[in-house]
Amino acid sequence: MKCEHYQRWVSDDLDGVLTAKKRRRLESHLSACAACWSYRQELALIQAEAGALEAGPVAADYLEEFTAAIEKKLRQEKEVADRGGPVPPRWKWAWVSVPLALALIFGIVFFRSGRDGFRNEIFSFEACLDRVFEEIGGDEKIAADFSRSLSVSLLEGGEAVVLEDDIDLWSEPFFWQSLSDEDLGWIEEEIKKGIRS
Amino acid sequence: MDDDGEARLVERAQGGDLAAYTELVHRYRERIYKTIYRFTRNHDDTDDLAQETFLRAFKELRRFRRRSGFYTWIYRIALNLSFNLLKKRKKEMAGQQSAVRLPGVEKAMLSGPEAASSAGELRDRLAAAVDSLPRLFRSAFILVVYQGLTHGQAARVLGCSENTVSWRMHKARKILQSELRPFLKEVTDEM
Repeated sequence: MKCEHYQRWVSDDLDGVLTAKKRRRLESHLSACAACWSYRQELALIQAEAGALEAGPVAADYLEEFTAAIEKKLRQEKEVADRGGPVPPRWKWAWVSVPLALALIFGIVFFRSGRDGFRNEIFSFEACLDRVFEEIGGDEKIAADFSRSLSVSLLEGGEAVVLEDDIDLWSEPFFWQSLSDEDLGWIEEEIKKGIRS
Repeated sequence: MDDDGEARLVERAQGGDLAAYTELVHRYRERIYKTIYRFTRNHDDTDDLAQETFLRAFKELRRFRRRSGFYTWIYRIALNLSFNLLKKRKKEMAGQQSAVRLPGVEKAMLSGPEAASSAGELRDRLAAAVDSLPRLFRSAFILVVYQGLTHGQAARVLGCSENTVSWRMHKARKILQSELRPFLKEVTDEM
């Protein structure tokens, strides 16, 4: 096994999620690998320093003021609701629901009648990636190639703006596993837009 | 308070019981405040977002189906609001053509290793390096290291698998170790 794997176990060990069996293997590796041993020392130092960075308790009087402010706003909300108050925001938009529903129905009909099976398949982006992941079966080289191809096409299409902070992620195998639901949803929407156009 | 007690509080709050909801605010206010502060790094924004978190949670409480814990749900709201603020700040900074990194990060990047002669300075550099982590790694790091959540709890908050949390933690630590290596070596040599 490569040092990278053991270094991930070092991280898991710091978080208390490494099994006893893996820890024994890790210790055995560390006793023979100076680089990984040094890596663990450095991570242990980072962990200790991060613990010292933890902010102290928030002042009690501040917390009381904070809670009082929230209680005041909640009471106002409740009074408005009890009086039957203004129309809740979601009902303000009720007038657009009919055209939206019609557009959705037409969209589905159009999508089903005019498109082939492949285009329906791609409808769930995350499901597609899950299937790719199953096919790859843990082969990091193939996964890296796939990640690279995917990222290049998304970048070329100008669709990776939302993820620019995390650009380093794209060179990682299985990078999509670390994307949030929101990011995956965004990419899926962009791909769907591309298909329609 | 046990989970049953919390579930009853949530149920009462869903029925419009303000006292029950205030009890939940008491329970989570400090943790939510500290979590948001890790992202915003200023008390005014933290105060606004923490209040917004609890108010939004109250308004949406009827939609909370209790499939996950209340804390998971409210953490997610807090993180989403924090991410939105960071995105907004980034746009504003881009508009002003300012430096992308925070002042603390610039300081950490520009100073040489000779400037870090003590663990206290290492701590400052670590804080700046955590601030500059990509947000997915940063949120995992904040929840696990600062908030003490398990990988399972963090996974529920972040909407991903435990394996993903483990991977993000590993990558976050690799980035931190790589950025702080010269200073870490200096401190470990002194020890």
